[in-house]
Amino acid sequence: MVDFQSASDGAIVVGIARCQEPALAEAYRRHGGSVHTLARRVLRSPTLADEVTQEVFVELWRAPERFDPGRGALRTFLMTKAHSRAVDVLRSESARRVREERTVRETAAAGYDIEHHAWDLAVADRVKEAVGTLPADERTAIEMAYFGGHTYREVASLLGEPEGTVKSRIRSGLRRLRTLMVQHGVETAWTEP
Amino acid sequence: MDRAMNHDDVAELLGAYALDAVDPDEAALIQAHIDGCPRCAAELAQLHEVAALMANAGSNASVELWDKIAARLDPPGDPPPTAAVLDAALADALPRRLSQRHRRVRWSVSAAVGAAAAAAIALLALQVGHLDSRVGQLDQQGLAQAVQAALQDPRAHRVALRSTSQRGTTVADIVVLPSGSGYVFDNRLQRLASDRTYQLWGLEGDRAVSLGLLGDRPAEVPFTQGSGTAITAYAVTAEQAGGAVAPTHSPVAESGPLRT
Repeated sequence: MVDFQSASDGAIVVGIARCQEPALAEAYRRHGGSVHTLARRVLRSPTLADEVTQEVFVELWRAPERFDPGRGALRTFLMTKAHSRAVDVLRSESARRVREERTVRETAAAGYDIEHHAWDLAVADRVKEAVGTLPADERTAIEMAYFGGHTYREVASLLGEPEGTVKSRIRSGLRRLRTLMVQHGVETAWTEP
Repeated sequence: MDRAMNHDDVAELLGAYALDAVDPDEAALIQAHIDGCPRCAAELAQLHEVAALMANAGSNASVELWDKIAARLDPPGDPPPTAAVLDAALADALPRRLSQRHRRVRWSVSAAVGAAAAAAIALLALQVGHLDSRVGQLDQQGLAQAVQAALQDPRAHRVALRSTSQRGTTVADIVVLPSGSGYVFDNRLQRLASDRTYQLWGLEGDRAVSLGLLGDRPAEVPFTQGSGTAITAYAVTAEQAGGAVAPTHSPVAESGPLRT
């Protein structure tokens, strides 16, 4: 029997491809909390976050071949799926209710509390440190897009900034973050012990 | 927006795209470019990585939510779970059938799946195969050599898989080493549609344990059953691509009961 608790991401996905439920359970044990937290962050609804999390892991079970280890860590793959799905739900008509619940806090950039709104997740210290060094305008644009689920056009409108400025800030902020994370030695992939 | 995007247009939007912060029409144009641009694909992968790190959370995954996920891991596709899984006879009758020569393993689909069968289904769903992950570790040439080496190993067991529709026709062979490493070879199973796959099962007592997917076309495939297992027979089913946690169809090929 394979002990998936000590298996690499690649071995876990191979296990999933071979219909080994313990492999999926291990992927969930490692990444389910982060996936759920991100979905809840975007959707502000534990119930909808439950649904997104289920969909992410059921999809991994049904189509593990969509994970390409050459393109990044399993965690990145799952978080990308989770965010994309959460944003789909947020933007869909069926989630109008959720959107309405969020509007009070988010319709105006003026009411957007940067310090307490977006970065209060249990972000790893080094990531938090890197994020903290970003210029405020880049950080704001990124958090409104990523955690607020807004398009860059919406962000531009909310901030009263040109669209071109906002899309540049998002890209330059993310690139800066990547450089900072590399400098801080942040590991992105789960590695063999 | 109805025009194609050039590289610079796309590059400028990659950050927003990585955060799912573009409109759907833009997303389609960006993705179309990325599919043909390794540079943008590489940058997007890096930006996704950064975004995923920002959302890092120390919280644990909830066990209750896992239970809901596990409940949805029924074999995909048709037939539906209540009609598709093994009938009640499997759970208690399979070992007896296997102990009797000339009796075929019959995984019939019952229209009326009772409580006993439901219990058996739940058990089988949990008994997903236990094996090492050797897929991908052997290239085809190495695989052929490994099969030859196994066949020359005097301690290896060789088992024929015979068609269930054409009596007596061997459609593939299995060789298993004492270590529990095994290979399907001389595979002459008919090619399946690309959305289906053959799946190899080991029968341990009343449990059908997945030993791996064999793909939709004949190929040599390694598998591992573990050295301490008590497999009493092998069977192959045709399943939806991605495989199943428990057999959903009658076998297309099976071995006779193994000598113990």
